Formats: sequence, C-alpha cells, structure tokens
Amino acid sequence: MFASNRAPSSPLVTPCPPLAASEAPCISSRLSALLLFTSLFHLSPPPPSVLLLYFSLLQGRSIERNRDPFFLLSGWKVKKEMEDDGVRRMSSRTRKVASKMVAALASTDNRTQAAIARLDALENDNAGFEVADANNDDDEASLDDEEGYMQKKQSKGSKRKTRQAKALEARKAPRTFLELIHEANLESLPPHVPSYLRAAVGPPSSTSRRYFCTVCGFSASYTCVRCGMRFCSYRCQNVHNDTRCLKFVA
Amino acid sequence: MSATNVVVLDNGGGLIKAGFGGERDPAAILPNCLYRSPASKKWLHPHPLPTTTSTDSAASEPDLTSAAVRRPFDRGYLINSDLQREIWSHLFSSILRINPTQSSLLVTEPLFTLPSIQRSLDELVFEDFNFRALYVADSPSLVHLYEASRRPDGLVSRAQCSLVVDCGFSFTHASPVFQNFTLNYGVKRIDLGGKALTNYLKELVSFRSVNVMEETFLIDDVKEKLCFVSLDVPRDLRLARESGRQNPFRCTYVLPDGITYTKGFVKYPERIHNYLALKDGNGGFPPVPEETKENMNPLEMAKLPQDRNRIDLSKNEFDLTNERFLVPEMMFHPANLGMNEAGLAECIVRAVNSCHPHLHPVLYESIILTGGSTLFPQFAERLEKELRPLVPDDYHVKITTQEDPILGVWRGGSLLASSPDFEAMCVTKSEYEEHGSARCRKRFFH
Repeated sequence: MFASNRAPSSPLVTPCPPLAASEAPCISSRLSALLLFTSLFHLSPPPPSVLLLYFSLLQGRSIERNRDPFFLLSGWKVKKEMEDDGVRRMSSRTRKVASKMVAALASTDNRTQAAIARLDALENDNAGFEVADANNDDDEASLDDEEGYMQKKQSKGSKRKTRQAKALEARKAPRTFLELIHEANLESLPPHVPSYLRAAVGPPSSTSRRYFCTVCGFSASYTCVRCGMRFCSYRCQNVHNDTRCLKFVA
Repeated sequence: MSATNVVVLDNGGGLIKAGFGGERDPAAILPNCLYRSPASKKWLHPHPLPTTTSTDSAASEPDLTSAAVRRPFDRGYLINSDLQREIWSHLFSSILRINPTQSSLLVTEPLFTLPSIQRSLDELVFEDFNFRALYVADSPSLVHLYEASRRPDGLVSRAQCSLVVDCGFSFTHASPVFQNFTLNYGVKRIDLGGKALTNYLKELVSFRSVNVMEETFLIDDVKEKLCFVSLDVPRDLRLARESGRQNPFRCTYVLPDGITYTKGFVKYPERIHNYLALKDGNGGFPPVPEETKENMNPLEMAKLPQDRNRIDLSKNEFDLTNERFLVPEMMFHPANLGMNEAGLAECIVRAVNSCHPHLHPVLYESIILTGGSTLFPQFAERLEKELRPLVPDDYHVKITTQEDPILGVWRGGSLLASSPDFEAMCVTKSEYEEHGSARCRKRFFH
C-alpha cells in the first residue's frame, strides 16, 4: 500500500511546518519539501538546473502561495490521493477489498481510523468490495491447463494491455463527487454567495452524545482500550474482543 | 405544444419518477441504478415499482438478492452521465414510450449543483436525446407549489412562504421557499439520507446476526417495513431488553432462500405495530390477538413450528429489537454515530434563522415534510417534540406531512408543466445551441 512504501504518514497530515516556520526562506527545508512533493506525485526529482530556477522563483512568493501545493496534503485530500494510488496499483479483478482500510490508514490514531472508516462506509453503494468492469472479466475466465501457455502469453500481453488500459480507464472513469467539488474550488467564492460547502449544517450545538454498545445496541458505558468502541457489559466485551476489535485496521 | 407533451422527470438519487405533465401520478417509478446478480455478468435495468394503478404480480419480479448496484448519482449529484443516459434511454423507449424530439422536458436537480454537472445534464438532454425544450427546477419550490395549490386558503398559499424539509436518498435539506423561489442562502443540508440509513442497518444486522452487507434491496425492504421512530429513546431501550412477550419490539424477518420464495418477508406481520400501544405512556401493551388461521397467509401456515417463538437458524432469519428505532434515530442525532453534524431539529432552526426575522413565525408555522425517509411512523410527532424546545415560545410550530412524500416533488412538477406560461419559461434547443449552457442556465435563477 501507499503508506508502507513512502514516507511515514504523519508529515502528510500536518500542514507543512517547515514552510510556515520560516520567515526567511530556508533552502534546505524547501528542498526537502519539494522532493517530498515530487515523490508524492510520482514525478522524478527535477534536474539541478530546474531546481535552481525553482528556488529563484520561490524567493518572491509569499508564504500563503507557497502553501498551495501542500493544501492538497491536508484532510480528506490525503485519503483521496491514497485511494487513487491504491486503485492504480490494484489489479482489475473483482476482489473483496475492504475499502474502509484505505481511508482508515490516513490517520495514525487507531480510534480515529476506525471511526472514519465506519462513517465512510455509510456512503458506499456496494458494501466495501470493488466491482470490476464487465469487459475485464475475461481475464479470470481461463481455467484449463492446455491454455496454460496461452494464459502465460495472455498474462504477458494483458499486463501491457492493462497498464495502458488502466491509464485510459482512469481518464474516462467518472470522477467522484469529491473530486469535482475540489476542482470547483468553492472556497474562492465571496462569502455572500451560497454554495454546497456553505449549505452544510455544521457541527451540533451541544457536544453531548449518547453511546451505544456496538455488540448489542443498548446503552454503553465502557470503552475498549485498543480500538475505542463502546460496549455495555462483560459479555459484550468478550464478543467484541473475539470478533471485531481492530478488525478493519491494519 | 399541449401539456401532454411535457415529460416530467424527478431525477432522484434513489428513484426516478417519470410521467407526463398534467397528470396526477407519474407513469413510472424506477430505481435509478443498474443492478447485476452475482450469477450473471450483465448489468440489468430494474423493474419499475408497481404504482397504485397497476396490479403487478410479484411473480415477474427479478431476484434481487446479493445484487451489486451501480448508480449514476454519488452523494446526491449526477456524476456519471453515461450511466444516466442508459437508464433514461431505457425509460423513454420501453417504459414511457415517447419520442424525445417532440417533447419538452422538466427535470429536477438538487440545489447547489456544480456548473460542470449542470453542463453535462444539458448536453445529455439536448445533444443525446434531442429534446425540444428544457426546464430545470429544484425540489423545494415544486413541493411548495403543490402544497399551496392543494389548500388555496391555507397559510402556505396566503403567505406564499414555507419551509420544505426534504429527507431524500442521499441527503436531507431544510429549504425556506418564498414566493416560489428557494432562498439559497438559507438552505441547510445534513449528509444523511435513505442510503446511509440502509447502510447503517446493514452494518448492525451483519454484526449481530446474519451477514447482509451485500443485500441492498433486501435491507431496504426491512427498513421500510420494520423501522419506526421512537418517541422516548431511554424508555424504549429499556423495554427492548425484555425477553419474549414483554418485548413489544421484537420482530423476525425471514430471508429468501431462492427456492420457495425470492423475496424476504416479516415472520409475524401482526406484531409489527405492537409498539404503537406504548404511545399513551403506560409502558404496557394490549394482549396480542390470537393468531387465527385466517389471518396468516398460506406460506406461514406451511412452516408453523411447534414453538413459534424460537428463531429457526436453518431458515436464515434474524431478529430486530432496538435496531428498529435506533436506525431512524440517526437522523435526529447524527452525533450518536460519531458524525459531526447537527440533527434534523437543529438543521431546521438554523435554516430559519438565516432568513429575515419577519419570516421566522411564518416559516415555523408552515413546515412541510417530504421525501421517502419521512415515511417512518411517528416521524412528524418526534420532530415536533424535538423542535418545540428550540423555537421561541411565541411562535407556533406546525408540521404538515404530504399525502405521498415520494411523489410530492413530481406532482409539483406536473402542476408546473401544465401551467399556461410554462413554455415561455423553458430553454429551447435552438437557444441552447446559440448561447451555450451557462447563459441558458441563468434563466432558471438557481
């Protein structure tokens, strides 16, 4: 997965402290930030001449504008980026992928991971498994032994084809609503214009909430120390530990 | 163009309601998705829901267990116009049987649709289907129009102002409407709708009894038949712990096994409404009437075991006790789930507060509930109970439910389509081709 190959996830979530702290731009921190940025988006690190040009341009910019590329790193956009990377690397066969896992890896805290995963699962159509397109089904169709040679050839050819086909698919696949919202850049509208983001009802006025036991549904008083789920009694705690404590968190 | 040439299409995230302008009921209510059984590889169109006029038998219903679903809507907005085109072409050619080139279209769109989505809808209508003219409406103003016309001397039509609470499939909006215009700045949205409720119920049932995570249509059915809104949650939670006959909530649902029956059903349908006896606050309930042979249908009689209160695991059933009222409870308190959003009552209060102070008393007195998710029993009473403490004393709170919340928006659209100046309000195809989508959209004021 993305998180295991790349830099640890904490720098991705905290909004660029190296840039914010510097009043006089520090070249080394900018360099490291730039390399992190390019490695995130799978660009090759630029040659030194380009680097020099980049830093000369950077001198004139304000801190606000420098934050721009890193705006993408905060909040849900990280999840989105990681989801994209996850989708790009997965095969196109139908697999029961816990899509909760991808989103859950965004934060380091177990409890918030589990909570975020549960809330995101409320929005999906297909209960957490990826549905492959119909035209990719013939990849898994060949089962015979005599087609073993054909399969090898097919797998070699299909590997090449799927990389290209995946690029094509990624381009013409319908973009999710979250991507569209981000592109529309609704924050740049003046405050008197109503928009999708401003219409959200916002947090509740009182932070008091009821907790329900995740096992039986009645009123819960106790919390699991490992994952933060609530339970009501000893019996429910046993069930929770046996079956689902940290089940969908890596 | 006469009114019968206008196709009124309420394009919702869950169901499409389609029909002709001027009629009382839509000709077809179709789920807005493509589904695929796990056995087959083709994506199929679902059958339209049986309307009140047709007497469709259940034998023609396809088997919907474990069906995967593809929807053109995501979070309430149309993002996949290819899929929508397929669904619409099936709708127009096989179900409604119209010729788009000779008709105009009235379509509903959610509020705050992004310009890119609006553009793709316009392209779909004019370039793929070649409709003659188009009018895009938003749901709250249509609901207001319909309600005002139903009661010409009521407050809604005299003051020309109301607060429409639309609890739909993807989200819930509280929108103030004034003089048939939705006040955009006052609209407040909760990101919970029928889809989230169904998914939550799936999660609860899967954790506690049978794994139903893939059975969207089945759990939809369970939710519609068994869930209700509780008026007093702590008391109901206490009562739900009881066992056997003392528990007024326990209901068993039988899953289909594909051989004898393909649709699920509730095991003892006469017990569904036992909780209603709790309303007068005495905590007891009337004795369950003796189950005579005439009350049960032949299916139940065939498999009546000796001890009928035991769950028969071989038949794939599951019990629901507190889930029945905890699922709709989510709409009133999303914080109980961990969501950082206010509940329905606060949403209404915030929507009203963002309007001019002179409108507040009128808005509170004309709250209209619409949308499929308001069909839970006791929904309006609970909402009034929650809303009353939040509203200043001297304002009157009155909540009206529509007679058919699912068709409310469609009926408003049909009314609008049959009004005499409808054709002047539309955008024709030639205007679209000349000016483009963005300028034509400015005529619709939202």
